This record gives sequence, structure tokens and C-alpha cells, in this order.
Amino acid sequence: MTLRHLQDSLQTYLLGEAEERSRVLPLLEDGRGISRELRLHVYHHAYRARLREALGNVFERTWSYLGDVEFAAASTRHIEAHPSIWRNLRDYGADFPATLRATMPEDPEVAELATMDWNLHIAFDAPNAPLLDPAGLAALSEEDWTSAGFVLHPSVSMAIFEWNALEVWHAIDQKKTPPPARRLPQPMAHLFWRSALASRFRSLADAEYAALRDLAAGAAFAAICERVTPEQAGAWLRAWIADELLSGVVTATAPAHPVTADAKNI
Amino acid sequence: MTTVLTAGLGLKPQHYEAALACPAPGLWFEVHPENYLVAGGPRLTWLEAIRARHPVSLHGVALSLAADAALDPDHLARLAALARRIEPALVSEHLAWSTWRGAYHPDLLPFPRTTEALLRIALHIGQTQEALGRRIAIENPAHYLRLDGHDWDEIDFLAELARRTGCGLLLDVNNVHVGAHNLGYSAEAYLDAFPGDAVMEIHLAGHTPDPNLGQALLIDSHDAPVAPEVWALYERLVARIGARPTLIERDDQLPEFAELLGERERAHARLDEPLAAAA
Repeated sequence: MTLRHLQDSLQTYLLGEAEERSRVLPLLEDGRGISRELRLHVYHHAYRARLREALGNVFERTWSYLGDVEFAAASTRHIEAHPSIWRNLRDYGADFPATLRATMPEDPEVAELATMDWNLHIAFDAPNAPLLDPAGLAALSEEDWTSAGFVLHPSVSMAIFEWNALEVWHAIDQKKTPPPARRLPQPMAHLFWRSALASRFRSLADAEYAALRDLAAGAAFAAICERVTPEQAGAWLRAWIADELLSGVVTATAPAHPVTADAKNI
Repeated sequence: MTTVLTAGLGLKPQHYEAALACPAPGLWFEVHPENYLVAGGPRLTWLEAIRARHPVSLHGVALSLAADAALDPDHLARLAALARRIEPALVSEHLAWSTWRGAYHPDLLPFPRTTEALLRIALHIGQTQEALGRRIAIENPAHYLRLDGHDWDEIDFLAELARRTGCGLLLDVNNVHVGAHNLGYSAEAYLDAFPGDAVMEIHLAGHTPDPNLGQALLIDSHDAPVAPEVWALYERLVARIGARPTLIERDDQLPEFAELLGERERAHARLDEPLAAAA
């Protein structure tokens, strides 16, 4: 037996049906009291149990909402369709919300709840980056302000929900009975990020969502200011700085944004 | 001053604050480096804070040393960067494979102990030690089945790896107990034959009966206190080879930190005496 043959055979068995073991069985010695099939099954079971546990760790609120039985069934469907390609189990599950969307079309709030769990999870592990120092803004010239844009912190992500996933999330977090699923009057954007070493989220009004989306795409803050009152633009900027959403300012004369050495090392 | 490592604990996020504050002499913590190969955020911040107070050991699970494939240079580089950052007291890995053709198994999979496998694993250990700039320890596996095609006895295989690469060994006493029970050999004979000079670290952990097969097959589950039989094997081992840094591994059904610390004190008491005498 070559190692390559064992790896192919064992992997095919582990990723497939537990009954499909004809390739790998001949590579095992007699079971000595316990059959080779039952011994093999330990590995088949462990692969799925560990991935289910990984999904449960990340999608904690989704698990609470669905309950043990439905979450286990949803996890199993996902694991069978998505073999693990990650060395770090914390990376497993990016496609789980899509699996839920596809397999539970009658319950669209579940996929949105899972998206919240995932976005909070990735915000937690996102790169470190400096926070914008408001004192630096005072030093900008009038000309700088015409081109100045802001760099969003690497932990920032946004998602648009059509259902009341946020309400459901809060209810679960407070150990209350979740409200019935309800379609929102109109789709609403949600913001996810990390500040003070914790993942956070809040909903976004349309105008603020558009402003942050355009900033992320490289728009100048001056262009965003043209769409709203100066008071609104000022209030946004103060809130973004206070909430630790901004990592730096980019102007025509200072385009470079330093990434911390920490973030590069790992 | 050299810090003497006696008994350590696996570090879990639920215990970060208690771990940071714990003043127990000789205490150290072990982590799976893969859990800290993240871009940033609180996990690394906590690990660095705890490292500033206690020695830390990196116990890898994902290098896939025994696979018939080259080591992933990106993973090795990230591991080396974490080691530079944390300056661990010990670094270890498993005698197993876990990645193949793009799939990653969150498990430690068996392989036939052939001379071909020995040469390749020795190469991989050498590459790892070179990338990290230090000696690593290789852990004996737990066994649930017996593969066909072994040319080497496991202890001879590990000893030869140590001889060829200069690596150390991590002796997991629970793995010995579980493997001996499951495959029908003597745990005592295994421990007595193990090359004591190469042992850099000892692991102790709990096991559970297989949910379907019961006591007939034991699972290295790390979700229970260390069993009396494993403590007895540990006593036998330490009496023969002397004190070595010893880890209480607990990954599931996690109790309060104080309870784990109590279990850890038992190993500490066993280690403290010979270490103090040698100092």
C-alpha cells in the first residue's frame, strides 16, 4: 500500500457516505473484537462532529433560534456539501448563510441571522489597524478637504436585510422569546465592526449606508457632504470616529494608509 | 533566571481572565497556534497579555507532517511569525496527516509507518525546525484501528525521527492508554520502552467510551478529567524518566478554571519535588 493510496481511499470514505468503504477496508487489519467498519466509523463521525461544533461556535444565535435538531440537520446538509478546506476551523462556515438561504426558502430570516453571526465573527478576527486621530483632521487644509476620503477599519462590513433578523438577534441575546419573522417595510442595511475588542453592529439609515459604501469605494467626503446638510455630515463623522469605524484619512497629498506591523506579521 | 515549567493547562477563551491572574508557580499554558493565526483582534491581544505573565507552548494540529505532500509554506511561515511574536517555551506537532488534495480534516489521521514515510516526515520536521529556528516535539498518536503495512514499530519510528532530526518527543499518556486499550497491547510496556531522554513534554487528558460501542473502544475526547488509570501510568513514567513539563488537556465540557487548576495541582505536586531537588 502506498501512502498516497491510503490518503485517497480514507479521504474518499471520510468525505462520502459512511457505507462507501470498499476502497479503504482492505487497507486495515482485522478488527480484533470490533469490526473494521465500526473502527473506521470513529473517523467518519469525528469529521462531522468537529465541523458541526465549529459551526455551532460561530452561529450561536442561529443555533438558539433553530433549536438543536434543526440546527444539526442544517449543519449536516452544509458539511456534506462543503468539505472543509481550512486549516483553522474558525474559517469554516462562510457559506453557511447561503446554504440556509437555499435550503430554508420558507424561513429567510434564518439566513439573515446567520449572516449576522458570521459578520460579527469575522469582525472579531479582522486585522488590527490604527484608529483615525481626530486631531489630524484639524491640520487638513481647505484644499485637502476637497479630496479627503476616509479609510474604513478592516473589521467593517455591511449587509442588507429584508427581514427582522436584528430584532430576533436581540431577543435571543436577552434570552427572550424571539418575535415572529416579519418582512421589513423596506430592506435595511446593517453595519458590523469591532471596537474596544468586541464585535458590534447597528442598523443604518439609507443615506448613511450610501455614505459609508461610497467612502469604502474611495469617494471623497466632500462629495458625500453635498448630498446632506453640513450638520448631518458633521454628526456622521463624529459618530464614525467615536465608534472606531475609521482608520485613516486619505488626501491627494497623502494617499498612503499605513497598515500596522501587527497586521502584516500574522 | 530560568523559568521552571511544571504542570500547565490548555488555554481557553472562557478562562482568559483567570489564566492571566493565576499566580501558581510553574504554571504555563498551551494553545493550538491555528486558533491564533488570525489577522488581529482580541484573541491575539489576550494571548500576548497571558504570555507576558506565563510561559506559553504552541501545540500545532495542522502541519500535516505525515502527508505524502510538501508542507504548506504559507502555513509554516505564519506559524513561524506567531512563534517569533509569542516566543513559546515549547512547540509541538502530531505524527499524523490532515490535509490532502485541498481538503482539510479537523482530525489527526493514521498512516503506515514505512521507511518512505519516515524519510518524508523527518524531512518535514527538519523543515519545520529550520523555519522556526528551534527544536520541536512530536506527539505519539491515539489509535482506533490498525492499518496494514507498518514496517516500523511506533516507538522505534519516533526514536528514529528524534535521532535523525534532533527533534524531541511529546508523550501523550492518555493516547498510550487509549491506543493500548483499543488495539490490545500493553500501555505499561509501551511507556517502559519509550525513549525517555527525548521526551520534552507530557500530555494528560480525559477519554470517554465510544457512544455506540461503549467501553470496548475508548475515544481520546479531552472532555473529562484525567482517568485514574492514566494517572497511574503517569506516575510510572515520571518515576522512570523524571520530571517533564506536563499538560492537562481539556477541550470540551469545560469546567471552571479553579477545577482545572485543581487537576493541574496533582501533576504539579508530582513534578515539583524532583525539579526542586535537581535545582
